[in-house]
Amino acid sequence: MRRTLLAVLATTLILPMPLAAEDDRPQALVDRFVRAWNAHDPKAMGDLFSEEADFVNAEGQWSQGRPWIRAQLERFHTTKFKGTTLVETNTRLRMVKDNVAIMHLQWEMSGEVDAYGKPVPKRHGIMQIIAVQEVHGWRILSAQDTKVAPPV
Amino acid sequence: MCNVVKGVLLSVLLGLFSPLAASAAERTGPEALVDGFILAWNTHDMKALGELFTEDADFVSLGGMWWKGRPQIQAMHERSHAGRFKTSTLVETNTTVRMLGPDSAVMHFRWEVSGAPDPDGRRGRVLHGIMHIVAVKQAEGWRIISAQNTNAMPPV
Repeated sequence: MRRTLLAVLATTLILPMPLAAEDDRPQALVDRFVRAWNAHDPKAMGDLFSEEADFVNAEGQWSQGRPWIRAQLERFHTTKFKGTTLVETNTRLRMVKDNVAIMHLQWEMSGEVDAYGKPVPKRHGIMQIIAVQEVHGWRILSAQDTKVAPPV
Repeated sequence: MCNVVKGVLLSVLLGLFSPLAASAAERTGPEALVDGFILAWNTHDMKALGELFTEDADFVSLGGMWWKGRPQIQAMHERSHAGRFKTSTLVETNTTVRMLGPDSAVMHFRWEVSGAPDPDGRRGRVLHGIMHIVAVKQAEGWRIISAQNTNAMPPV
C-alpha cells in the first residue's frame, strides 16, 4: 500500500516536471536567450531559433538559418562577447494572432571588448523578435537588433 | 513612312519598358507597403507615410528610439523630414517577404538613403540599412504593425 502510494506520489511529482520546465509562453524565449547568452552557450541560443530563421544583429549583419546564426554567435562569444553579461531591462509582448507574437526586448550589455581586447563601455539596444508557435513550442522566426544611441 | 517607323519603334520601346514599370508600380501584397513607404519618403509626405501604419503601430528608429502609435511615428518622421532628410532620396535595394498565413507577413527591406547631410551639416555619405517589418492585413488593406530599422554596411 505504502509502496503504491509512493509510486503515485512520485509519478505526480515527476510527470508534470518536463511541462513546467518548458515554459511555453513566447516570453520564455527571452529568458532562455538571456540565460544562454550569459552562459556563452551558442548551441542553446541557436536552439531557440526556428530552422529557417533570420537574425540581423546590431551591426546590420544578416544571418540566415539556424546553423549560420549559431556559427556567428559562436564566433562572437569566443571573441568580443566572451566575457559579456546581458541584462533584460524590459520586454513587451504583442500577440499578432494565436501562433505569432512580436516582442521588443530592451537590453543592456557590459563586459564587451574590442578587437584589441580593450574594454568597451556598457551599451544598450532593442531587439524586435517575431516568434511563432511550432510543434515543439515557441521559436524565434526573425529577430533584429538596433543599438540605442547614447544620449547626447 | 518615317512616322510609321517611329510609331513602330515607339511601341516596341513601350512594350519593352511598360512591363517593368507596371510590375514596379503594381505590387499588391504586403510589398505594396514598401512601395508606399518609398513614395511617401521621396515626396516627403509624412501624412501618407503615417497612413501605412496601424493606429497602434511600433517603430524603432535607426538610433534605437521606440515610437509608439501612428501619431508619434508620423510626428517624428515629420521632424526628420523638416531637417536632415528634407531633400534625401530613399531607394530599395532588395525586399524579402515571408508570409505567416494569409493575413500577416515579415519583410526585410534593404534600403539606401542619399542626399542627407551629416549631423554637422556637411555633405553626407550614403546610408544603408535594413528595415524589419511586420505587416498585417486589415479591412482597408495591408498595414505595418511593427517596424525596426538598423544601420548596415553597404552590400558587397
